[in-house]
Amino acid sequence: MKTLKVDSVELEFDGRKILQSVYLNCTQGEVVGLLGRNGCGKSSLLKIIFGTQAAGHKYVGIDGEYIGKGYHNNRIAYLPQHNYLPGGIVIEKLAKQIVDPLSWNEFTALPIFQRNAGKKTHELSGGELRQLETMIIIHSRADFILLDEPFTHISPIQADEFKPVIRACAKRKGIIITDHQYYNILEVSDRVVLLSDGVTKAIDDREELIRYGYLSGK
Amino acid sequence: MADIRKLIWYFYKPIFIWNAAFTLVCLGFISFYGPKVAGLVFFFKLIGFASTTYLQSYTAKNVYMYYRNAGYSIRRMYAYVYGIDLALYFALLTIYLRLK
Repeated sequence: MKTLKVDSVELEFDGRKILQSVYLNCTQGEVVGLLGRNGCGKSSLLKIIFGTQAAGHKYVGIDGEYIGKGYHNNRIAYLPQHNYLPGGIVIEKLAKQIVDPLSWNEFTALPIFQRNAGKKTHELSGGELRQLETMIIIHSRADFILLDEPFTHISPIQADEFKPVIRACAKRKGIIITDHQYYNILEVSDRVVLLSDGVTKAIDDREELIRYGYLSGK
Repeated sequence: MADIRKLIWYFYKPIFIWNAAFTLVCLGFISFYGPKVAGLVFFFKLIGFASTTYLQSYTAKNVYMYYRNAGYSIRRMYAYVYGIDLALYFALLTIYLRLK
């Protein structure tokens, strides 16, 4: 089982420190939920791990090997908040370039793929496209998956459909997931980390989320 | 790993016409003013690449994540695509000069 270790991440914008000495780790076989208020740096942290955002300082490594760009050699895959599939190309062809050949049968059995395999991105609704893009990332070749707001823009039924898929995927991959729908994160995660005041705090129970000011407690 | 030939085509497809237009304009200049302007015209071709990169970073930056998730950096994708485009340009230029 490989372990992704993220340490000493520092990030600041215009002199304002967003992340300070952030530590996070994730082992294949677990889902780590990352919670935090708007603007606390959750997405920035995921982009730093993926290698698409520069940090003041960072250490990202897998089993002790330093990783400069997480996406090189398919080590880490990342679901951004925005749509990422190119237009004008059939979904099945696009998916083949990212989905792990070992997971292809499992992926093609998904109803969302079967309904839309022959379509292009502009022919799908926003929710369908989001769900499909999430599934492509979850079934990618990468050992570690970063999901940035996968439950946003989809219906509760769609969210319920792919929570088991995330859990099944976590049997062979490490997943770091963040979303404002904290109840979905609590349900799908093995452990939860709160990003607050630029540092990460391990969360053991819901009361701690209230104590740290993430939940109102009402 | 992903099939790099297919990824290159997906990356090249939306910018092919824009770059082909620059190629044809360059060849038009050379046919009108003669091979002596080839160096200057090549600079114009490079401006075409710069404008493509600028327009893509404005209009299609979101899809960069697709190629990264396939395991390739955007710099590498541009290097492949512009390399192929330049090869096409020089091939067409060679054919034109030989036929002339």
